[in-house]
Amino acid sequence: MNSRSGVALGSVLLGGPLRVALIGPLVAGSTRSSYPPLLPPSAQHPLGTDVLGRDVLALVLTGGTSVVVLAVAALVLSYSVGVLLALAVVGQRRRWVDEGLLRLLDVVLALPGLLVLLVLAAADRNGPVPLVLAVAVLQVPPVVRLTRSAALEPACRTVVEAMLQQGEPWWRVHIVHTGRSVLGPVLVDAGHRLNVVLGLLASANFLGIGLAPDTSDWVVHIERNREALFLQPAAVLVPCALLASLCVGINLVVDSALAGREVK
Amino acid sequence: MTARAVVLRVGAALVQVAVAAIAVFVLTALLPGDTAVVVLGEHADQQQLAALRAQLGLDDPLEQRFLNWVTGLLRGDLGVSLLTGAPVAEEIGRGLATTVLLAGATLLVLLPVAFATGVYCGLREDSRVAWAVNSLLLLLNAIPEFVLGLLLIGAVSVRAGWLPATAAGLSGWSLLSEPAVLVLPVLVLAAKQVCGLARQVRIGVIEANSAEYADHVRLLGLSEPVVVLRHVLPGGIRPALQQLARTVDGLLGGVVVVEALFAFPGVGSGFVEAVKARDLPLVQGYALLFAVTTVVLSLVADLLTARLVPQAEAAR
Amino acid sequence: MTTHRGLSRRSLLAAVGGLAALPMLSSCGSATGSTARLRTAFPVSGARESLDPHTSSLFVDQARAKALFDTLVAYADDMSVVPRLAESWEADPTGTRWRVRLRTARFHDGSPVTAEDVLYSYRRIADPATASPARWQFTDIDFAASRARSERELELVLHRPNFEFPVAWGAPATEIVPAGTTDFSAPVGSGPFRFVSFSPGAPAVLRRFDDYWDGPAGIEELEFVPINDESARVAALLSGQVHYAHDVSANSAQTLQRESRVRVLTAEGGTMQALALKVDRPPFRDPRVLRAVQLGIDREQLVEVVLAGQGVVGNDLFGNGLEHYPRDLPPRRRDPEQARDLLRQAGAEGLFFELLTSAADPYFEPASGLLAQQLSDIGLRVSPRVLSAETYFSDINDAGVAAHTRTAALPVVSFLRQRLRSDTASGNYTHYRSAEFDALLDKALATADPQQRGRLLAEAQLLARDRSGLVVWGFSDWNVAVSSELTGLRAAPPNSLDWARFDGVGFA
Repeated sequence: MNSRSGVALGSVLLGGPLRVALIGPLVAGSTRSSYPPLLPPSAQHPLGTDVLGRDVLALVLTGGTSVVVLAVAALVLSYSVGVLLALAVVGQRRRWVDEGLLRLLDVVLALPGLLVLLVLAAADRNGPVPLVLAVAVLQVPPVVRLTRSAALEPACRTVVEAMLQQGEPWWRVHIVHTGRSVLGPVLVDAGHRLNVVLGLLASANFLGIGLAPDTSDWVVHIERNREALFLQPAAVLVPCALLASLCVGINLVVDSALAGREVK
Repeated sequence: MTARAVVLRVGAALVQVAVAAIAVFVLTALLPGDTAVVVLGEHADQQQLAALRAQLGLDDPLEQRFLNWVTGLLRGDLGVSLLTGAPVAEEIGRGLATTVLLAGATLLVLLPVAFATGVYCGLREDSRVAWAVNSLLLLLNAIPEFVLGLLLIGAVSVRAGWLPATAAGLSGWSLLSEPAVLVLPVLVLAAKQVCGLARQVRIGVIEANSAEYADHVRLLGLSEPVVVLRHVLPGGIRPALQQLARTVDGLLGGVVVVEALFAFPGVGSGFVEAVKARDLPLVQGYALLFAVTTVVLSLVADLLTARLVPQAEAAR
Repeated sequence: MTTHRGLSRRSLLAAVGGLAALPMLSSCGSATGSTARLRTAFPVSGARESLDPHTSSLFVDQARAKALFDTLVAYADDMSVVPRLAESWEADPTGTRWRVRLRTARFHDGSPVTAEDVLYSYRRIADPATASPARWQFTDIDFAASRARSERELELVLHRPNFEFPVAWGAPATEIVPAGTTDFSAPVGSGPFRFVSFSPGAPAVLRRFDDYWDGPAGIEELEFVPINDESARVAALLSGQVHYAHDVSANSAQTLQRESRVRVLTAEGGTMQALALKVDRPPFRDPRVLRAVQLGIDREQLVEVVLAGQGVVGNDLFGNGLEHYPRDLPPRRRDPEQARDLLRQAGAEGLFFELLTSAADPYFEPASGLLAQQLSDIGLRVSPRVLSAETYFSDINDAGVAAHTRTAALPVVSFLRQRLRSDTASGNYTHYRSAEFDALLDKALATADPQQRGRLLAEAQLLARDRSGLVVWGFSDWNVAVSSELTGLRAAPPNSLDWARFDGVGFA
């Protein structure tokens, strides 16, 4: 098995849920509570109905957009802030700026993420925006740490010194060049961080905080239907499988693509 | 790292904990409602609420309460729980043994498995088995803990009856009298974390294996097993160290879900209950515990990394 | 299993060479009947972790109090009063002086239960410093005039006539404690079980009290295991770790029907589920808009979907099936046409309002979604807003215009007094203030003749039904699940005598 087939398999695993997420809402039927709850799969409802009497197939088709958008938004937010911050600071000649930032971020790291989410929920700030912001903020410290450690690689540093000697502008050296060389580890981390973000979203819903309970969102469906897991498994296992496929797919693609790029 | 740098680092860590404590206090104070409301619940009338509030000291201004807490802390007294009246240290201590046991058992399982799979996948990069293992780990990581937990409980506990489904009233060290109770929760926790750690080990091993130094040493005629043992494996440890701190963090997050699902009265569920009850002193205590744990782990990881990778420091 | 008996049996069987794994999982308590320990699982979230019966607010507190202590009377399934510690009682013609005779009973330390103990307990409950949820029912007692006439006879004097006063003696958190008790770390009561051990966060263990006035219990030990998560409770029951799982969801009940190892005990229609619409402010101050909502919701669909069919359709009044519930009440049928008409007349077409909801009850959030859908059919735009569960019932006292509420089975009179009177301290979520209703209620309470009293109460309820703003859409079933080998347990509504009652339990 080589990197090419890894990418191929990963793309399939990734593409499936993405296609469902993007195209699903266009072809889905109604998600109104119109039917008896927890019906087993049948001709009329290929995946049965959920605890609220909604067609599971329609829910699965419409639920992808929300979770993908939320997760991607949180990731993009945390990486844009985190990577830029790390790159800007890593080259500083004044060590205390660098150290200070790390320590400050570590404070955020020390905050129990769940407390932040619980406070948000208790302050009645449920809903997608506070959730995304909170999840993103909680990811910034590990992103900064990772970017910084990748940027501190000796190979990286010598080129940087050379470029600075040659009078290249600060931003081009630190942001563009270093950015390009840390891209690899950052992408790998992003793949893994998607799992973390989705996990946070899932835990948040498990604890009863996060999105409104009748939102059509795979993570919400998994939580809502979990007590009927053995009565109507499709309602939990299908969204779960789609999420798992998404995660595994992204990680396979990223891992394989980078493995292919490495020079042995 | 010089002794001076170490001292500075530790000092910084203390400041971090202090700042985290303030932040947590503020966050918890932002929660609407208070313990009196939670305790009296639906049957509260204004008179009883007022009486209870005065009794619990909820009428004092925030700064005053924070100051009281800090002075108590410096004396080693974490205060008492607003809900039960028991000392905070006692309440947290009760759950601490349980969670430490859970986390410890998970790490005992996690570390060897992650290291072994990481090394194997790193050395045999292109083999089918390595890719299959890699994908399996990714899959386990992608499933939410509570789904995996529910599936396992349903299949293993309820249907087959091989293992108990909950802690059923046990806690702390008494859990060791019924070790079967630990199996499922540890499995769920480890399944989630093994992926991240194994990957880092794998990446480190790959890099070390393909480094010029390794090739050089091979040219010198050292046998492959020795090369692997003395030069490649240690290379796998470095990135894993940083990841270890993150893994323990992830464990703490997963522990909350697992403790709820398997009815383990540990610090995870204790913390959630304390927030639900707006029990400020108790929440403060837990948050302090988490902050100290995280900061100490970061510190240890940084110090160990610095010792193992002196060139990263020298280059700056 | 975790008892010492379990371990020694296991090692014995292992020594015999049997399959070592099985005894660990078979229910531990099925040893010889009188040496058995019954393990029960209850949620304890938010518990004060105290065995003080007068502050009990959670079901687990009440269940423990029921095992350790006794009340003067208790409620039958229809919430009518049955004697317990009080053998008999009578009121004077004014309804303000009550004479109560106690039966012979002993506390766990051997001392007899006397009238002084009752007076002490009631004084303590009425004291604001105790923070007892039962306080409101005892504030009318004139403690200066009330006294013990003999060792087992007492006289309670009220400030105002109340022929339904005995109802207060059976309310939750009204157990009788020995006079002078202030510390409940090792409580002494007169109940069927005596205290063995309890520490916060750990199970409470009680042992049979052989001198119990109603005869000794069928089991030797009773254990209350704290398990918050509902699926964990069910799993513990199914895998034999506990014998009784309290408060099981409708979906779990359905799954459990298929299991032969457990039985589901269902108290039908035990809990009222309602919308509380505030009638002291727009939009529901306008009776037409209120009526439109009453006509616009589809109660059958709510029961079928939200309650999974496990419940009874509501008729906008609390207490379906209980004593004093008006008979032959015509059902409220859905009429979207008339509803839309009313909204048009009131100029409220397209009206938008927020519906407050939370996770405080498992049916609230599903109900909000469905209600929003149903009301959109008559032109109302409803947006559910999720509040935090722990402070929900306090928050909805003043906030918003529409909120979910639920009430477990209680005597109808208690409900009317606590929730619909204009001068209640809390719990009147609709802010219904009607002098006419208050007058009817007071008159009913001051009426000696039970028939006439019943008529007046029915009249008051019919008045409240149209105007109080309480839209009762259904009554959810109350489920507990027990191991099939238990005998002596039956389905009973919450707060009734046989609910969470373990002294009659035995192992088959």
